[in-house]
Amino acid sequence: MSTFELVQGIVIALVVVVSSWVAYRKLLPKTSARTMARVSGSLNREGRAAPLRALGRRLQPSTATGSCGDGCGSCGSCGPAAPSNDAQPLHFKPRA
Amino acid sequence: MSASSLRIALVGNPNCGKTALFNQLTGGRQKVANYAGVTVERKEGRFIAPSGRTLHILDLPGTYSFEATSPDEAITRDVCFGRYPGEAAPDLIVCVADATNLRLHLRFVLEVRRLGRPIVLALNMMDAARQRGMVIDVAELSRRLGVPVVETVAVRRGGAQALIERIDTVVPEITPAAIDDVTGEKLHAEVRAILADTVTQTRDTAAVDDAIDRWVLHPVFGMVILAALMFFIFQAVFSWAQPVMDGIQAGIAALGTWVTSFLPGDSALHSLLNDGLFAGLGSVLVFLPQILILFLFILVLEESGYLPRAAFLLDRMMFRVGLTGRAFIPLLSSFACAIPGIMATRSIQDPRDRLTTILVAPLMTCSARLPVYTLLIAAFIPGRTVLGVFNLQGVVLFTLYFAGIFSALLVAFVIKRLRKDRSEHALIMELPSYRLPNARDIGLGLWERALIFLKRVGGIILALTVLLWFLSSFPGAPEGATQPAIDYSIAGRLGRLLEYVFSPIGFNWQICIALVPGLAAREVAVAALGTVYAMSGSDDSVASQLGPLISHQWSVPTALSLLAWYVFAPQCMSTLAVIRRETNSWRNVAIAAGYLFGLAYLASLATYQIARAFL
Repeated sequence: MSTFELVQGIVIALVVVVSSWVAYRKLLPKTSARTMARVSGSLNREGRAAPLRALGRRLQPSTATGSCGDGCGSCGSCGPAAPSNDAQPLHFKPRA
Repeated sequence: MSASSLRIALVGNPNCGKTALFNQLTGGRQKVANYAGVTVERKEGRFIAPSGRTLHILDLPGTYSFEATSPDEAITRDVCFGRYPGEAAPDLIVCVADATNLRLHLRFVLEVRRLGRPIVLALNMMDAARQRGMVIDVAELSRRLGVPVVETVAVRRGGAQALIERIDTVVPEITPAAIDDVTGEKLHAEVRAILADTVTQTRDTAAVDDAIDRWVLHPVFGMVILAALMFFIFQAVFSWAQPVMDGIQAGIAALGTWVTSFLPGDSALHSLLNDGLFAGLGSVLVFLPQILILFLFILVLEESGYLPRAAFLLDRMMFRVGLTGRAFIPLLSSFACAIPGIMATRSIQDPRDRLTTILVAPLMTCSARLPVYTLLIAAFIPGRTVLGVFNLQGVVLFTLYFAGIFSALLVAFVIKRLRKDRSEHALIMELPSYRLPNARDIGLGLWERALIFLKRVGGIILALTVLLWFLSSFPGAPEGATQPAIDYSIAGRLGRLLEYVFSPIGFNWQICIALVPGLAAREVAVAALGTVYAMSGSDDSVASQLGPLISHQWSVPTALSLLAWYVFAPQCMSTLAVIRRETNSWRNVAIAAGYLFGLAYLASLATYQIARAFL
């Protein structure tokens, strides 16, 4: 295998892994945030080495401050849950 | 209350300028428009006052009363009463009132005063009030209400200075709460009495507004004006954008050639850049000018105050099919994107009307459909002039938008029949004064839309394009293979499998592949088609010439069938996620996805079979 082929393989692998991660975060924001919180929690635990703990803190998912009302593609950064989450689901009920 | 920080809530009737004030105070860029119901959720920002104190500003949805009838009004009520989960009651309430319409807005000020919290009244739009010849005795108004009153012009730079000085230098005083249980009629009587002593005005409405409304709200001329306006917009989208699109296309092609010239032509990296990035992303990026032209018109209409008039004109038709007039603004917002449109349904009081609007909102033609529509129209519809003035491509685009509106009305009508009840709501909507759109605001709005589009291209679209390239490249072709390599790849095999389901509606395996990543967002399908065709062919020029390529490879019935598919198909996971969030029910998501995919398949089947019979 030539040097070019080796570098090419590494670059393509990196690009594909990063793309998979971006797609995962954008399409499943809550699941990816939970995953990151778990990974971050396990790294940032008492007794771990300082660099690992620092990495854990860096990986901690940030609290989103955006708003779904901001428009298309903003759902990955939705803010606090809508009040409707506490409300009853919307269903059609015939008028009495 | 902390001496170094203060929590301030902006409240008031809808469309009185709360969000414009919020933007002035915090430097934010929240969406503002000249109609009621733009803000439907609580927004928070902060700024450091000249004294060094940190002011936390809450922008709340507009409401006419604390007797909340819709979810957005309930947010304002709960925050003001200190009942909003995880949020303390505000230290200071800034009541924003439209100075040109105090007869309506002061009633809510009196309600807020009864809370017994510190209040400042911001008389907004004072410039418009003066233009109309109104004279407001601010000192007397302050004395009668028992609260400090300041003048503001939220849309003008520095227009909130008086408010900043007031809330920064003075420690808010508790306003004595009125303890009597006054009725709505008594509040109105009090408002009338206060206005009689403090405001002098010659007429209730602006003469210019009345003159324009005589034409714009006319039952016949009004509809003609509305139809002409919409028609003009779609003509402009096609006619004005072409030179810039050609420039972008040529630029992408030149950049692609230059970048890939450093790599061996048969390497995987060359293929990733050429077939994946430049063919995929380039084919989406060229639609930026068309999207910006569409948004230019949407922003101008939003700022001018015309949109509520259009709602008024269409109310009778919407009521007949089972939609409330209040559904107009959410449905109109859905032309930009279904997500804010569905969120805007929070201003609809009746839960059944709200659910109907949520279910039909995805049928409105969002801007993400534009790249798909224009790609197919430019490839298959000749750009000739019809009836002397109209561009045929613009006419077809208008028809597709109209098909979305018509199908939304039809679905709403079917839901109405299934519900077996009659909506009781009449449309009561405030008609704002006409306003000349501010060029800076329009420019900023367009800049925001361009950034959103480019972020999508550089984010989810780029990521999915790279993944599709990977799935289209591996595994590679075996020794002695006679077909293009993509035929042996994972994506190629998946496309062939899906072709069994989609061949009755005329879709080939390349389209089937594009539909899969296109589920994430509609424009991704264009990027995916660019990548798939670039990898299927040997000619590098494919990368920048998707339109001419598909016009040779597809039949007209196939193109029409794909257009019909995109009128209905819910190819947007974010929309389905927002339906889940707003209705708190997976069942509604299943209903929406099921009926939309069902309609898409049936419409495409009918279109393809009929077109094949006649063309």
